[in-house]
This record gives sequence, C-alpha cells and structure tokens, in this order.
Amino acid sequence: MSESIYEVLAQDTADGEVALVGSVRAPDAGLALTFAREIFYRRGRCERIGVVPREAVCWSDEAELTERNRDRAYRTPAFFVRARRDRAAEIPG
Amino acid sequence: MDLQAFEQHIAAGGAVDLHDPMPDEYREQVRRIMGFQCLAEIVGGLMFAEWVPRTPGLLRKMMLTAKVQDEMGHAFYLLRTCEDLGLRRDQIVEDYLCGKSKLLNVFHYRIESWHEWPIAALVQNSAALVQFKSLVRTSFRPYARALKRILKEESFHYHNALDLTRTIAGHGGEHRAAVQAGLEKWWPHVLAYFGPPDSDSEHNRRNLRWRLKVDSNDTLRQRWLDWIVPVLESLDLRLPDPALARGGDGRWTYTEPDWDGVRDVIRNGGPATAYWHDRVRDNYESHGWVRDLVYGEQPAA
Repeated sequence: MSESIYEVLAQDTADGEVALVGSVRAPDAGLALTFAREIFYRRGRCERIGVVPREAVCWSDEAELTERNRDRAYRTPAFFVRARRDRAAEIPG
Repeated sequence: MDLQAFEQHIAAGGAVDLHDPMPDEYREQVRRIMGFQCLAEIVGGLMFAEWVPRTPGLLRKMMLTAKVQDEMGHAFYLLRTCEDLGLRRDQIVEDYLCGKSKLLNVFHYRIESWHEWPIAALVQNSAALVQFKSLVRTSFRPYARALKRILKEESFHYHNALDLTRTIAGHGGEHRAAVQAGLEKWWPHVLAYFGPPDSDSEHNRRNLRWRLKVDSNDTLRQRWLDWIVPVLESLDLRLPDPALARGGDGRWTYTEPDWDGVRDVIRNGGPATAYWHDRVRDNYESHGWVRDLVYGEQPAA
C-alpha cells in the first residue's frame, strides 16, 4: 500500500488566515484528514482543516527571498518615521 | 556541514528547521531526544489510561480520556518529526521493547489507587511543564513547535490534576491521608526526574552548546520547587522532605535523591518496570492489525 506525508492546514477563525500546523502520514487524503482532525483538533476552535500532499507544495528559496527584500525598507511605514528622525537630527539647533 | 560554522550560527541565537543543513551528529542527537520524549509520552499515556474505566462520573471519565489522547497526540507530534529525520516510527517502541532504550525514572513505578493518581499527575505534570517551558527555546524549530502545542495541552492536565487533588483532599480523613501518601511516594521520583546535577561531561556541554538543552538540571529542579511548594501548601499537604527549605538567596535546599538508586532503577528496573514493558508490548502487538490495515507492510529499516 502506498502512503505519503500530508501537510495539515488549519483555519482557526473564519476571517483568519490558513496556517500549516504540522503533518501526518497516511495512505490517502481521506485518512490523512481523519488523522489530522484527531491529532491537531481534539478541542478548541477551528473553522476547518485541510491536507495537501507534501510533495505538492513548492517552497521558495529562503535565502533568495531574504536577499531580495534586504533593501526594501522604503516600502514600509516605519521608513517615514526614521526618515523624519534622521532629517531632524541633521538640522542644527 | 561544517561543525564550527554551525556552532557559531547556534551561539548567535540561530535556529535550525527541518530542511536546513545540519551536522549529522546534531540530527542524530535531536532524533534521540525527541524519540526519548515520544516514548515517555506513550508510557505516560498508558499509566493513566488504565484509570479511565475506574473513574467515577462521566465528565471526569471524559476528562481523563482527553488527557490520555493528548499524551498519545504528543507522542505523534514527536514521532512525525523523528520520521522526517529518517527514523522509522515503529523503531521508537521496538528499541524500548528489545531493551535498547531506557525509560525515565518515573515510569518504573505505577499508580496504585484512585486517590493516588491526581497527586501523582499534579507533581508529574508540573515537572514536565517546567522542563518543556525551558526546552521550547531549543534550536531545533520543529521540536519547539511541537513543544508549544504540548505545553497548551499539558496546562489542561495540570489544572485537571489540581482540581481533582483539591476535591479528594477536601473530603478529609482517609481521603486526605491517601493523597498525602501519594505525595510522599511520588515526591522523590519527581525530584529525581530532572536528572542528577549537571556533570561537566562533553555530552552535556554539547547539548547546552547546541541548545538541545537550555537550562541545567538543577535550575529546572529549583524552578519546579518555586512553583509546586506553594501549590502543595495551599492544598494543606505536608511537604515530604523535612530538609526542604528556601535560603535567603531564594534557592531551595532539599534531601538529594539517592542518585545511585535512581541509576540502578533506570538500568536494572524498579517495582513496575516489567509491568510497563508488558503493557507496551501488549498494546503494540494487539494494535498491529491497525498498522497493517492503514500502512500495509512496513518497509525494512
């Protein structure tokens, strides 16, 4: 019998984001969902859960992503606060 | 992977995720530690599972069932990651059954009465919480994530045990006396649960350096005493150690566990070692058909 690893996705609130919470090993998606429910959500609030075969997820290259966003502070609101402070520091008196 | 660069990364507060490069020795040690805790969760679950049929009241029965399911769930979080690190999941149980891996000292004893389990659970859970709250700062992120989930559920176990201990002790007389006797039985075992004072061995230094251990055994033991002593006092229970006292520096002094005795129990067995070994084997064998049905034949290791 073939089996694979399924990543478990969960959405805690209807207006919240879906997060990857862990993984299960199962022969098919149906059982993977059953295991996920029993292992990750025996209590507490959860809108819905899902499973996806691990090999179906394409992950980015982390280093590349970090490198790309290294000099992009100018795209963030905090940039203006710092820019104002820096300008104020430059004005003498 | 270059060990020196790796150690610099960890020393600078860096962490490691599943697919990050890591030295083989580190991977092996993570797997060993998580596998060890996994086995403890399984035996810990069995220790309480046998009280479910004897629990009075449906709600209490459901609460204890929830605790037992949680322990097995914790074992699952850990073994899933062990599998990702290349360990066959059955091996965790099989290594124990063939004597290759050893149990924590507390799993060489057995809870023998209904009055005993809540106080045993109270001291055990609080000790485990202290240990996990420290270990959640480990360098291995999948382990930290598993511990975060485990901590939430352990907190329910702790409050369940506290509530039941208070209820039973509140009946006074022989009920309170039985709780007191339970405390006296489990106190030295839980004090020893944190392990002997840290040796200066390379093994220990390496675990600390790699942040697979965050605080020393004595630090954790002190933290546990800080927490549990006032709780036990609030329950009007007598602390079993006459030497227990808190010094001006805030540090506790206590009767040191008999470490030779503890080592002997772990190596050669204690009163319930054979009992738990049989229970694990029986459960493992009687559930073999479920594994076969779900997973088919296990590939050879």
